[in-house]
Amino acid sequence: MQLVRLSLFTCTLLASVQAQDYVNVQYLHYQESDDRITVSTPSLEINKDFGVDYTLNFKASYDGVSGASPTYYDSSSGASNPVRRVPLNSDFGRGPVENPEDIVYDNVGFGERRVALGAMLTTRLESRDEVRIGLNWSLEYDLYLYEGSLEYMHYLDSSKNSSLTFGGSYQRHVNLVPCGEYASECDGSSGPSKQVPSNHSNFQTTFSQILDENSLASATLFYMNENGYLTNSYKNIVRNYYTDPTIVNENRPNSRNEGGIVLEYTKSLVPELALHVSYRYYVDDWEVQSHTPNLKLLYQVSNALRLDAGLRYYYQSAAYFYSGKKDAFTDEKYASSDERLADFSAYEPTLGMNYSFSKDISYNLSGSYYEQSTGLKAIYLITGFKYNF
Amino acid sequence: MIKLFILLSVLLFSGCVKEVQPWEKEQLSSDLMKPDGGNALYKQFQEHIYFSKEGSKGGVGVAGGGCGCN
Repeated sequence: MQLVRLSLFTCTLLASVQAQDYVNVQYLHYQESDDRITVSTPSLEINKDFGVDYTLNFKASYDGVSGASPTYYDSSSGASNPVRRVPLNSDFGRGPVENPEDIVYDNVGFGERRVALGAMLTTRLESRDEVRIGLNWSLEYDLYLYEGSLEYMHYLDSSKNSSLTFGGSYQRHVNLVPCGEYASECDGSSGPSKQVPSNHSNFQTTFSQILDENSLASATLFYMNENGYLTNSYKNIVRNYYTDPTIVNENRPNSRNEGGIVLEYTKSLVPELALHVSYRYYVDDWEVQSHTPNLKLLYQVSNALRLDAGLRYYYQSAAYFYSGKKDAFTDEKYASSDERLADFSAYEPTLGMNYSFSKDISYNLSGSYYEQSTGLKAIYLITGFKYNF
Repeated sequence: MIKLFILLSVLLFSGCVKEVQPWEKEQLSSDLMKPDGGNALYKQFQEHIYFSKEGSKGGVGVAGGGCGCN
């Protein structure tokens, strides 16, 4: 009897393996409040199995970014709402400020485009352990990056109920820094812009365990190292507000060690309803710590319709060199007023649906609302089709 | 943190773990059991937004991602 069951399962498994051939077309529309950033991202994913031992996954994305991002500038130096323009040869409102009251923290307009390509080959060994080799490439006007990754997933038992995955990646960024007298990375010989690199390494170990027929859990330990140019070349700070107020480019340390743990638990409460719970703890040597609990429910209403609802909460502490105040910095080596390094919390409710027109074609739509205690509010919609071939 | 990881792993290994046979894994293999519902691009979009708006990251895989995110 067990042999019959195993045969049936094997047939099901093979059918599901064949169903891994698909084309996935998705579109993201992201919109922030106060006329800040708008992003439109059409994306394509193609997944193709070659027998049962190889799977090739290909992804392509295009980001069209427009809008504005807040930073300090001298409102008396020209337009009340300056715009970063290409070529990147501006001081972005930097320099000495005659009247400190003219220093404002407000939106600076910009536009950006990004193209990203990625490919991953999964190879299954005789033991069914998996080796994944990935390549990624991304191009923006002011950033070029490429990445290589390698992962190995090893089953720890013959029933394949538990596994251990080791992975690592290396990413190289080549940043095009707009130069001016008050940009930290540039000097008199740099010209209008300068290419400066940064290196990003990422290591991760995941232990996964099937707990019973309806639940599974995993624990992930991760470590990352970044070094090189980690400053945001568009973000300004104010130095010597009371004595000699000057707006200059922010300056961040040129290395960052980051680590953390992710715990995930998934439980099928009834056959039509699954609960996902996860928690991430993060810490780095910039003194940023974060906690991210996440809860999601997926409900299969009918054979065709699936609904999902999620709630994510996020809290982080500030980097040691961050201050949002105009009068905080004098001659500190490292200083930033980028809100992303501030102490803040965020929450995000999400609702979504997936409708299958047939066993091969499905449509998905989801909407999320994201709000930070910094004042940032955003909504984003994700919609698309998936076609199994 | 490494100690915590080992402790949690040991806890997962022992106690509440049941030996599940291959033919008992139908529910576990359904898209309901995947946080992204089986849509990898959906997860990628979300992680890209968090990456560009928050000061921490990581733990979602070693491959992919990265941007200037001004």
